[in-house]
Amino acid sequence: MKKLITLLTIAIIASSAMGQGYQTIEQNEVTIGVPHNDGILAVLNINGQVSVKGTNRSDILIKYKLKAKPKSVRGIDRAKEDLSFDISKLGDSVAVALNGPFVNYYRGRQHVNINSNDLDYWFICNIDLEVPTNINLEVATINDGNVEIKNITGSVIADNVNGDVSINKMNGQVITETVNGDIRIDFQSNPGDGSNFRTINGNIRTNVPKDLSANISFKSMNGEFYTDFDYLTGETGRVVKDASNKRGIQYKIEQITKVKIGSGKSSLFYETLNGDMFLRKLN
Amino acid sequence: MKKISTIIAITQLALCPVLSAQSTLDELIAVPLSNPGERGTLEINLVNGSIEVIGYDGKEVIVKAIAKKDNSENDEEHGHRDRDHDRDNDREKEGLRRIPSNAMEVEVTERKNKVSVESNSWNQGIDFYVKVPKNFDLQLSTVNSGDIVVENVNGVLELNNVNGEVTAINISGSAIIDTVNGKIEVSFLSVNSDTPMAFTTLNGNVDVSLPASVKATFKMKSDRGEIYSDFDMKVDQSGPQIDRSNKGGFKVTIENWVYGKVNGGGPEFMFNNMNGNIYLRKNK
Repeated sequence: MKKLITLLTIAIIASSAMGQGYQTIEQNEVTIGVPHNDGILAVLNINGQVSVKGTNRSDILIKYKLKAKPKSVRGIDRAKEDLSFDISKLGDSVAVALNGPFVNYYRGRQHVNINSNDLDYWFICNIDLEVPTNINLEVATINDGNVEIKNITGSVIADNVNGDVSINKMNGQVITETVNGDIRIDFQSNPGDGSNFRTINGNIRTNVPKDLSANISFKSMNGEFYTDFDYLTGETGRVVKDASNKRGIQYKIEQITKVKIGSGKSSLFYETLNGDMFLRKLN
Repeated sequence: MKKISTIIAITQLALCPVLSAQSTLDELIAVPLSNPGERGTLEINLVNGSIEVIGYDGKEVIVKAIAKKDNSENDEEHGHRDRDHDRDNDREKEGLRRIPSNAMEVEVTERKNKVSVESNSWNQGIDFYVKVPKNFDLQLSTVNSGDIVVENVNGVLELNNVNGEVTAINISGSAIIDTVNGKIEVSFLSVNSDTPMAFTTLNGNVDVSLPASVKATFKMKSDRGEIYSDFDMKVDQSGPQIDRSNKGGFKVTIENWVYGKVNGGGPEFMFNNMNGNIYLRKNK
């Protein structure tokens, strides 16, 4: 009997070490109807990953697990008071968001202002969704997780800050941005017009079908653009006059490199600061 | 009729907030001055690229920027961009070609007749071709892969290069010119009567033409070259200089400066290089 207790204790210690002391404070599986007309599905996380998978279902399945780790005795209670996982319909759209006292909405945009020193707990929320493939998505997280999207034919807006964005089996337009992380996208068909990929510290890897037809412009401070496609290059520039500058009247020339592949159907934009950009033919 | 269309083109240039120039590398900005007709200053500080400034009979500053072409699809030729590559990175680039990029950003600001040009020339080499009204002061500097050329400008000229030449032809006023690896070639139409000047390089000739009537005291030194001149000078080779410091010791320095008074002497014009000759010519 004594031996059994020891074993149990070890098991508990091991599991808490793996979870680094996080305990689940809310966990659920919810379904909700799809957005109507031009509505979108918005998923706004703060700490943790968001993964969205296109399937043949006709509604949205949301699985989430909200965990917290106390910093003080009252930590878990505070976390339970502060944090809420909200699923709501806003007009034609559906919003799934982790909310807390540090989240504000201003002019329809989410603003998160956390100083983790002020909180009595750490928290992390992992969100998994299964959606119809033709949905229009807006997905965002900030820390401790990647944004992963798969099998979507609608349009996708995907933002991260400290993490990657990876999108598989994509058919449509993608507008994505991260700060410290890579962007990886596999397009199954010609990328949607107006697609836009930006990262500050990370690489952008895009794989596209062999018959790509795109007009690509790119910009990087320390990175390069690599491709195995045949292409035509040219530069476009424009002069902008700005009389509002305090330092005087300012004129700007911005010239970026444009690359035409195929017949140039979709316009795509790549930007990095530190990191390379890759455009490869899918096999 | 042709003239009218030119005028229309120019007004469009001045009025249109956004111009698009498809698939050309060069861009033109016409900058009107706050006080047209009065003396202004042009400041350009580059890292990579040339600067050419020419005085003309107009009232605007016209800036043309051309991105240096980057034609190489080969990464090896761009080793400097790729300094911290690792093996994984190399594998990732296998079978791919690098698309040459000429991303240029130039900002021209005008305030109280001072025109400043800023650019991303540290990253992308840019050559500037600028037209300024004839009475203009210049502060131009570049570091790599470019020369500085100034023509037909009357003003205070500060021209600074590192790995390249500085040429100033048919200028008036005063000049302070220096470079490290490159020659200096200057011809003055007239000089300010009371302003000292300096022309310094390390590797290259210093070749300066001045009006025959110039009143100046030349201070010259060529460490490994010769000094040639057709001016009549009262030459005075400096002896050892003794500095007595107030700490009780003293320091003896021997300087090889040659001083020469021209037309009775005047402000000091310094000419200095290490490898190369110094030529001081009278305007013919």
